[in-house]
Amino acid sequence: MMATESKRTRTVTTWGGCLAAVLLVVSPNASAAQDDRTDDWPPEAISFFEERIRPVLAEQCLSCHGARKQTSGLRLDSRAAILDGGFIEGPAVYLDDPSASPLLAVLRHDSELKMPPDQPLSDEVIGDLGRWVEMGMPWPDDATIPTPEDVADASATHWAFQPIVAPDPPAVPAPDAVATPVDAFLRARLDEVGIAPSPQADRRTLLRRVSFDLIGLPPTPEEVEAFETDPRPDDVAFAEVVDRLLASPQYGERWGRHWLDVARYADTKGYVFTEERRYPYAYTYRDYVVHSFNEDKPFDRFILEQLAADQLDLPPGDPALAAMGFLTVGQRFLNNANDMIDDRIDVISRGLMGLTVSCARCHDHKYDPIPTADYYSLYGVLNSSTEPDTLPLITELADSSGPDRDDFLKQLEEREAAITAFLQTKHDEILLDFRRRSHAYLEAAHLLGSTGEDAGDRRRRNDSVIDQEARARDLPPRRLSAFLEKWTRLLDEAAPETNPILAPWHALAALPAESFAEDAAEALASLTADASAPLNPVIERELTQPETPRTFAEVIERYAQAFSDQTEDGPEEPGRPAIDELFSSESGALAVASLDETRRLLERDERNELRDLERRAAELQVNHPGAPPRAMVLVDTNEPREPFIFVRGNPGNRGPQVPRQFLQLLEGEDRRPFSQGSGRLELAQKIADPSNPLTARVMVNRIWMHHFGTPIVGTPSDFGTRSDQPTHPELLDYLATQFVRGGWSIKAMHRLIVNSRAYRQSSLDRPDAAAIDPENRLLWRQNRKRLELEPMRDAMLAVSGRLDARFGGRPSPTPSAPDGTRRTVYSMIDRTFLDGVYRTFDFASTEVSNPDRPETIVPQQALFLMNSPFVAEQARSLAERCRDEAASDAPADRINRLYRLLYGRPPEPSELQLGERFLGRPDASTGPAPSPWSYGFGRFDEETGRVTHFRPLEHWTGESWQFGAEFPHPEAGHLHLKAEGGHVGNGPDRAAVRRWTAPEDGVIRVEGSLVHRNARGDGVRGRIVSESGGLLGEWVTHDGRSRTRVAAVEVAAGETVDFVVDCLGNTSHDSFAWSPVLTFETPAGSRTTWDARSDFRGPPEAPPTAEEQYAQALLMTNEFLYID
Amino acid sequence: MPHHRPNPGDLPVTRRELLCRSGMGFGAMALGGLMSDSGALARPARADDAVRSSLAPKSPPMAPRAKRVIHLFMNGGPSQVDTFDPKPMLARYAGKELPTENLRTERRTGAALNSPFKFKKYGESGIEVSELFSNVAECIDDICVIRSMQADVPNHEPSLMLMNCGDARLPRPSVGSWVLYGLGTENQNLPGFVVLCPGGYPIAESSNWKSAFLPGIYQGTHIDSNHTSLDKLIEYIKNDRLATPEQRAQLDLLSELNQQHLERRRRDAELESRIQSFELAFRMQSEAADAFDVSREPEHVRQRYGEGVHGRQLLIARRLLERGVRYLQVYHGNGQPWDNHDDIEDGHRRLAGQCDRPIAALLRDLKERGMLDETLVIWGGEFGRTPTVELPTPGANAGKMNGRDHNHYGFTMWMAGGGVKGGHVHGATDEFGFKAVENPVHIHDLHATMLHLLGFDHEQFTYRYAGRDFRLTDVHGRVVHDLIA
Repeated sequence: MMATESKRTRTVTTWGGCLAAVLLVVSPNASAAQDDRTDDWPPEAISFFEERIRPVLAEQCLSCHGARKQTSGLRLDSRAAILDGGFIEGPAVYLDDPSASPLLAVLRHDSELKMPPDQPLSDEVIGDLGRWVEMGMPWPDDATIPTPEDVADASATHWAFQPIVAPDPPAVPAPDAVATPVDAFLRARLDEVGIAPSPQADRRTLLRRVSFDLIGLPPTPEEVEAFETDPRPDDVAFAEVVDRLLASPQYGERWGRHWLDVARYADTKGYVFTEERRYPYAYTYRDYVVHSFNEDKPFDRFILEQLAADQLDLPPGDPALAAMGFLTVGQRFLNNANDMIDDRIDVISRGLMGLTVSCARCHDHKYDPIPTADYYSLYGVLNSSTEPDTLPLITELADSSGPDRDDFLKQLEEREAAITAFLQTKHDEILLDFRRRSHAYLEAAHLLGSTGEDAGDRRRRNDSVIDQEARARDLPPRRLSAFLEKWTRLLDEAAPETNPILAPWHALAALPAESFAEDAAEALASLTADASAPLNPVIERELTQPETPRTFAEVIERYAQAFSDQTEDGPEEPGRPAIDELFSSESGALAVASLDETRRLLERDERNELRDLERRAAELQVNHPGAPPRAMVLVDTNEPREPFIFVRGNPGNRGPQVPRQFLQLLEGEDRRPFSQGSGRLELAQKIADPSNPLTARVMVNRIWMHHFGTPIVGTPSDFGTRSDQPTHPELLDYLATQFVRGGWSIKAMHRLIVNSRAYRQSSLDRPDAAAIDPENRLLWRQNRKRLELEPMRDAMLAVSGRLDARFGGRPSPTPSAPDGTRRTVYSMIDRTFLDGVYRTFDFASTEVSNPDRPETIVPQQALFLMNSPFVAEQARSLAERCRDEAASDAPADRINRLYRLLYGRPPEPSELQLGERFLGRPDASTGPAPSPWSYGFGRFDEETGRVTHFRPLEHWTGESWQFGAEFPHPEAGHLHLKAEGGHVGNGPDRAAVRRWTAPEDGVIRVEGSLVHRNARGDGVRGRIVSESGGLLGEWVTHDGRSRTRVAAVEVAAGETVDFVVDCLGNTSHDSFAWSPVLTFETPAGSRTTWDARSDFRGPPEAPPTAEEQYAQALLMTNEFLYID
Repeated sequence: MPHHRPNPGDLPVTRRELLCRSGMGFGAMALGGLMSDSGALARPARADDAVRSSLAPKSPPMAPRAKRVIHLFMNGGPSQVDTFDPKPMLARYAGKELPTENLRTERRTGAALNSPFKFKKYGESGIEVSELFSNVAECIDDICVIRSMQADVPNHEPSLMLMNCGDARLPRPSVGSWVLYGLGTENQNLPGFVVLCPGGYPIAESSNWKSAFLPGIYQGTHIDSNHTSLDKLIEYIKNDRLATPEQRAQLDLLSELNQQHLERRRRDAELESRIQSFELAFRMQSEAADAFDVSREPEHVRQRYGEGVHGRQLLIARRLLERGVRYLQVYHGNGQPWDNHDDIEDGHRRLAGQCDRPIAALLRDLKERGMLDETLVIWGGEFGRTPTVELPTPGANAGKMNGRDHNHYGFTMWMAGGGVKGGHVHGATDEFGFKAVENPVHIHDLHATMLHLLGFDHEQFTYRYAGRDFRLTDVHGRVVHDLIA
């Protein structure tokens, strides 16, 4: 039981305890003389003081009548001081005559003296004060009220804000009783009150305790035996066990989970509207935490990484980047930035330093010296940090090869192949387009290219001209632009006189339009005549036959013909290969060179299509369970954002600007604003600084809490002025000092604590000690602890032999899934739809950072143990394991094996006897009474009014009963029955029949609706037929609903009542819904309801054997679920 | 899979015994065990004893008027001017702009939209109610109508949060969690805070009944009341594999083993409580089966509540209240069914048609059983609707001019039983029903008043968390004494 709970409890039980308190306490109105009592007030009286009186005194009076200043010698900050009074009036309050109290007169301005001097308090407040005085001035204890100045002073006075001192362990008279310095501190306190520590627990108990403590799993029978028979002294043998457990990879899974409580870890975002609910990469933070504990990462480094891994110059892909999930796995508050930042401030300040900084969001902290300005200083740091759109990939910590990864790679390949295929198609399409429509391309290119500009000019040419030309010719502009560039380059590079393909173009393009026809014939003749530079035969033919072109437009046409005409005489035609080469996708001058170039040539709708394909590939990275891990990082914004105070927390009401800097409380007057980017790293360094009085104390307190079940400071996430006093302040400081000196090693802390005699004490109660220290605050014994959800579930898996010890990876199903085998720390944690098992077993809140877990005992826990398929499955495996492992078939041997596996000990004779008796019961495993429902088909005989030829449906699909594995079945069509209805068979012999058999004599009533939802077909007919009474009702439904009621009908034990549905004329569209509810009343008056839908089941499972039932009982025992 | 419904007669205790015994709760039993220990009276109860019994019934600091609450949540926001707040002026202005400017709501609204429903005076009090709730109206003399409710914003999520948790955004415990925390529950065999919602979740899902920083045991138990089978209603309530006598034999063995274990450990209150919890769980199996099985009600009672899911869920609700469930919330349906941005005439007629008769049946039934006095019944949505017509928006109510937008400026809720004035109207909206102008009641005030009726001063009913004492009403709220009989 965690001690913070006691604080809550006090509030919880305020009213419950009220009665007792009133009985014990004299009436608060008793007009006693100036008494000296200091407590025993009824809780409501104290509440009245806290809510109505304390604030008034603190805010209105104490500046002049408090600890610093006592005007007129009067102090109003404690009950005694008020009764003592000041120089002028004497006592300020007369308890025996309250209404005459000078204090009230002064406040009412009824006397010469008037207070407060400037303006009277409101009537309501004065009334409250009057009532309070009438009540006898209830005051919680003899404490004095802090003034606002006191609050500021707390940085100088409150223990937790003072530097950690390094106390020496006290000298203890019995040095033998000290195994580690921890014992000296505890022993000194025990000696003071005269309680002796408890004797050491036996080795078996100890091993079980320390195993659950450090790795969250029970020891194996072999480990128990080895330790019990280890001949070395206890200290030595035990220390070795501790080292073994700390080195186990399962240690991180246990202790990482404790840290995840602080980090309010979950795998989903909380309520969202339409966006993705999951955090696909939250698990990388969880794995980072587990891994960090296993490698004993120094705690200061752990802090730096969790707040600022992005600024530690880690190599790209370093798994430690995932550390920042500490900040980013919180709730999303519908993406309200201010609330997300508040959540992050809270997890940083309470989680790491035990400071409730979030209290200062709207106003200065009421009790701790944390002004609102400091809240907004931290706000500025987090507001200058942002989550990048694409989270960085990191190296895997967990081997995630396996079916998911294979599937991911396969799907990724498919989706990436789809992108390539799309681009390839477009590539080929463009190429073909250049050839098919080469006339249009050449025409446009000629027009655009013949302006005599150089290449640079052409590049600068206004795109709109190209657009215009493209539109005029119905060409895609980007393709035209590309063609133009290629064509121009081709012309530029081709030798104008000798190029077999382009020489004629050059020659003809140079001709004047006026005399083109004649000049062209001449020019062509000269070109064809030059044997040294033969023309391409195809070009030559096109340009000379049937006649030479008369205009340049015709030349373009002829070239286009040559380029596009790929079929005449086939590719063998002389000259054709050279032309084809121009368009060859590998090297052609007029070809699109690559898929990259293709990508640039896509038009808008094509680009959209491509983006969709690319998005599908990207989504896979996010959503696929086999996708490689990414870190949920924060990075600094480009420019840090200077924070403003939001007055009363309202972002619409900006107050003064404040620098991004650390808390004044810890930095003092000469603090400097953060200077590097957001300041996140500097913030982390301030928190992890050895001189920070809180960080180490808070962490060692958390470690202590998990070893003893109760912390040294009862409020593990609040070390402020209202926190619980430490039970052992010197011990706390000693541990904190050792923690820092030992390089912030958490494992070293475990050794220091766990190897102590105190830890190893027996947990047995001792009336002598309990009489002095009933709450065991001084630790005169070890506390008995209940297993939390995780070790409970893990222990069941471990003893049943089903535990899958793999590390990390994406979340496994919820912890209640019967086939789950992985450790609970890896189970899915869904903030919104939290598996009921988490709630039932007091799991940590996923909404806020947890100081500790509540501990309740509710019957729902027992229900899970008694009735859940998960526990049944473990019991089954456990029984099977013992059958396999026991030396013989004798029940005693199996019982013995069970006891060793579960409890690490042999059974006591009485236990053995109980077990043998249980296993030997006659009819130990009959299972529940058979279901009265059966599922089949048959015929309704109109003449006799009875069902004949009933045969059961024999194939179970997991959801429905049907005729055979094949569906629709060649013989029976769509015939089937499922929970809510079914489908009729083909023909009158194959009516669907849901049969109920009366378990005893009685009367039935039936309610229900026969529903047919299809306008097509001719509907269905439902009948209720009893074996003795025949037809009880008949309904025909087509695209509608009929209410199927049968009023009281007597049935005899074993008699059947059939719910028969047949097809009328034809069997198509004959799905129906009909799940009648049958109420059965016996002559004795007992009533049972049978609901066809919820009772619907597949074939009955074999009932659990006696051994399974026995194994389950042992799993439910307190011995299994509690740690002594 | 065969399974067996235990008959009450098979069980080791009778139902009557069970109902009585469960009133004590295992926490009390545990404490009793502790006290009987020799010398234990001299020993202060340990902190953990109290936590364990933190669901045990507790007395509030003031004399309570109500012992339990049922909140009938018309999620989506029913229109006040079509139900409990008649506005004849709307008929005069129908189709015309209001003389005053329309208040800003979620979407733009236009001219006045007259109510298509007829209002009539009912009961001795003569309070006017529309035909939509003609059955509920028959109980009007037991009802206190608040016509001047106000919330903060015209959006569903923050308004649901405000109504249910007292804060529009931050994770705060729901009203039911606060009440359970303060009062415990009278029946340890059933969850103390139950949320019935047919078809799934309302918008904002489980945030509506969370316990936030209160311990998880105070969170509401959500039940999809479309289901009829018990195992869908309460987790692990049935054992499909063992017959009841077999399970009994198993638990007898367990108990014997645990007793031996306990004796070897010189007794321990926590271990004893754990032993008790199995016995309670065993009985809970039949108790819960009984509570949710409405077929055990006589025919005339089922007739009164009517067929259909609303009749059934309110009948279940009454059975749960009767068995000591402390706080019940009953949603009209999943999502936000009352959110009639268009076709409000059809929509509201259909929705009221579903729940009017069952609600009236519940009120009468509670009254006849003498339970109404101690049961606070609350009816309403997260806000109301505009008296003006919502203008069409593409993708929403395109082409329609026959619905109303959200309206947080003024709307109607009603309460009955639990110490409120029957046949009473509190507050008023303006002449068109747009804004509360007379005695406005903010949600925080409603919460303060509810707590008052349950015996708490909302300013002193706090929980210490993260260094602060939290209240349901934060720094707001005042008790509306005018509502209280």
